[in-house]
Amino acid sequence: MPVKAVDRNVFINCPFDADYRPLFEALIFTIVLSGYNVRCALEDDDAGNVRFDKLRRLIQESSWSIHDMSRTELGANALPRFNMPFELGLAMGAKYFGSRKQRRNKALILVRERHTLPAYLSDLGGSDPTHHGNDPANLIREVSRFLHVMPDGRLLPGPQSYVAAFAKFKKALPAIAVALDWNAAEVDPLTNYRVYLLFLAEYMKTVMRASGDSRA
Amino acid sequence: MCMARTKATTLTKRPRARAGARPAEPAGELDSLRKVFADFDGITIAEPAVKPSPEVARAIRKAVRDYFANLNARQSG
Repeated sequence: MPVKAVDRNVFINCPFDADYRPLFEALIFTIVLSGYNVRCALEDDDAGNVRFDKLRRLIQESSWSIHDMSRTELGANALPRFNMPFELGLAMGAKYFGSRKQRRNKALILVRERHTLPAYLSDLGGSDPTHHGNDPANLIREVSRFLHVMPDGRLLPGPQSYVAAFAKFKKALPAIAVALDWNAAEVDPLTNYRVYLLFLAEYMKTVMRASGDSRA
Repeated sequence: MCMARTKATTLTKRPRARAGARPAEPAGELDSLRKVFADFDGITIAEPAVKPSPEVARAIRKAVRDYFANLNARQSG
């Protein structure tokens, strides 16, 4: 049975910095390969679009959300980055006070270490967030378990299949970038989000077509 | 003396990679890829919510196609 576009949307709430890049790559890879649509603040590069309105729209349009709290730590000014807890609160507000449909929204909360929900989020105590230990393979495992079914309801492959596929993509990326007369560093999900996402989607579609052809 | 030094330098110098040269993939890479991605058979990859300009999108599609055509050629050859 075909599903509406909104049911495929996964809102990502995570840091967009160089340290987080390996985890971000693994995160969007897993979502796209599961047949879902990545939605995050990077998709809108229109500076005229007010940030809060953008977040509200993305959360409103997404039935799924993934919130990585692992980098909500003290910065140089001795204050943590409040954006991620704020966006988590916004998504929780939609889930608990939104429409009947939004009340069925699913959310995954990620932290770095096991059983370590940050003190500033003690209100969520008892919900036992998932930990990734800063390891992209762990993050792939947790996100694929969270999604666990394709948008049409069939079961997704096991996490090891994702980890193997991710390694293949990472290996292929420099060669494909060269064919585009770019270097691999320029195909960056943080600085060139739209380009990276299309790379990912086209690569997956082509390899899956090739995989189907070989069995035909 | 001077010539000998020049010759030695020339002999030990590695050829520079051609700018834009594509790193070679092993001949069985396509089969290996097919095997890995076979587990995901039946999944429909969603169109990205946002895309780059049509020109860049065309170039990306061509680069991906060329990469797989190259793998295919290595596999058959």
